[in-house]
Amino acid sequence: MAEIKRKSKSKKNQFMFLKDSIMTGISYMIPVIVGGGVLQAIAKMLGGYDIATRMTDIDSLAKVIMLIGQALMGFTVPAIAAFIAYAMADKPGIAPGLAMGAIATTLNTGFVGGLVGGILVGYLVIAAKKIKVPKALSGIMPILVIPTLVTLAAGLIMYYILGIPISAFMKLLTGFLTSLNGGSKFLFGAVIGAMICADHGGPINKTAALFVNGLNADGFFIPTSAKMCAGMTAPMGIALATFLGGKKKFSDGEREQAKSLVLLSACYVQEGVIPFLLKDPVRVCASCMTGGAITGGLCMMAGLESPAVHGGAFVIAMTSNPLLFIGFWALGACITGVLYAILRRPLPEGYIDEDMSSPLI
Amino acid sequence: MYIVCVTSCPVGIAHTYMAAANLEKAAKAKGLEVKVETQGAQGVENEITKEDIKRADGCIIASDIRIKNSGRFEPIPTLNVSVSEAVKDAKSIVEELLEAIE
Repeated sequence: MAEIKRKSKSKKNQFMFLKDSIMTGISYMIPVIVGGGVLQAIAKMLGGYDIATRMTDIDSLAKVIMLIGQALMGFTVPAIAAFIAYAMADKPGIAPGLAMGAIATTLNTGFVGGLVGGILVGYLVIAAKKIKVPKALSGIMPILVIPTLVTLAAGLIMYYILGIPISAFMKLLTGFLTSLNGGSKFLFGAVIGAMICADHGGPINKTAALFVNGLNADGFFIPTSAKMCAGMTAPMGIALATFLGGKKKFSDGEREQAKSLVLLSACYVQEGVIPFLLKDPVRVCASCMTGGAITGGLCMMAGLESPAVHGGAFVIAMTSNPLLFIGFWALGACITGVLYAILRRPLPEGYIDEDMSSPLI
Repeated sequence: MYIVCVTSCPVGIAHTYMAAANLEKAAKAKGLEVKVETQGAQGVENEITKEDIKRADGCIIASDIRIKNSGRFEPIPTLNVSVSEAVKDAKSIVEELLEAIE
């Protein structure tokens, strides 16, 4: 590519290459985890929350939906492994990547195992592509040699070397999460909530979301509710603040835009807060993080489970306690809203509205 | 002058489209002809064709992930930026591209 060298920004290095690849993997994994999670949640709504433990005893539509949901959910880790490898090494990465994802389940290395396996496959395929072979044989490289040898090599490495520390780490993490109680539980949720509400879709938010989605893929549904509920408080809170602050503190454009934030909040699309965050970074950030942290902490402490990683108000019914979820959502939004309405400086005299139209709606 | 852009983000429901809207606005403000392809959760929308690339003077790729078919931009000067840069400050990205291709 005739790439233009950027003057000020750092060049694309290995770290950026990996980050982009992991993000690509996640972008392909999200529909899988959302679809699978929501289907299982529907099954739980129809057949009772403990349906997963009674699967052999029942024979109903709920059970069939549960099976379909589980089938899709089973592809979560293979999807991330395969598409990380795909992003790094293109098409030949997919087949070995799928294998690494599936073997992660066998080895109990879960999401982290899939991530590491995908990266490993990516590098192996890149290396394999560099091997010089006679022209006559070059056709069989991507369809025979790479799928066979790279899968074998990566599989052996995962099985005998990398899988062992990762599986130990997962056990440690599982132990840590199940042993959390009281204050530490609240703190854990509060950290998730604060990170989610720190930059609304930026790197801090993505890091927290990645961690929580990874836990969700491994069957821990409580942090997911902390993440989603906290994320939903921010747009609603800012909308509330414009309502409380009124004309003295917010321009007409802002108050108009805040109406769309109510809808965005219900959809768990935090990005609508960004225009506000850019204009008034410190105060918006402080208010949103406070509301988000309290909501996240409460979700975690109450053990509120959300099998769906995304969906906002549309998946509330599928959480283990919908009313509680709505309560925490409203509470966090009120805290953020009241706080920001107080913190916000009044508009200067004769303020003229600048263009702040939302490209979202 | 004609520029083409591609925007994409991991989830593909918000940043992709915010970046696209901002780039389009910034380019039009400079009096440029512009076409923005989005690679969001919907897949590829408003696809940049071979004819577009033949005609284009420059390309901006605003993405945090690997975009589809990046090879097609081989013949034209291409500026790679992160999607959040385009959300926050599309104007200076367009300026940077113009400066580089002039």
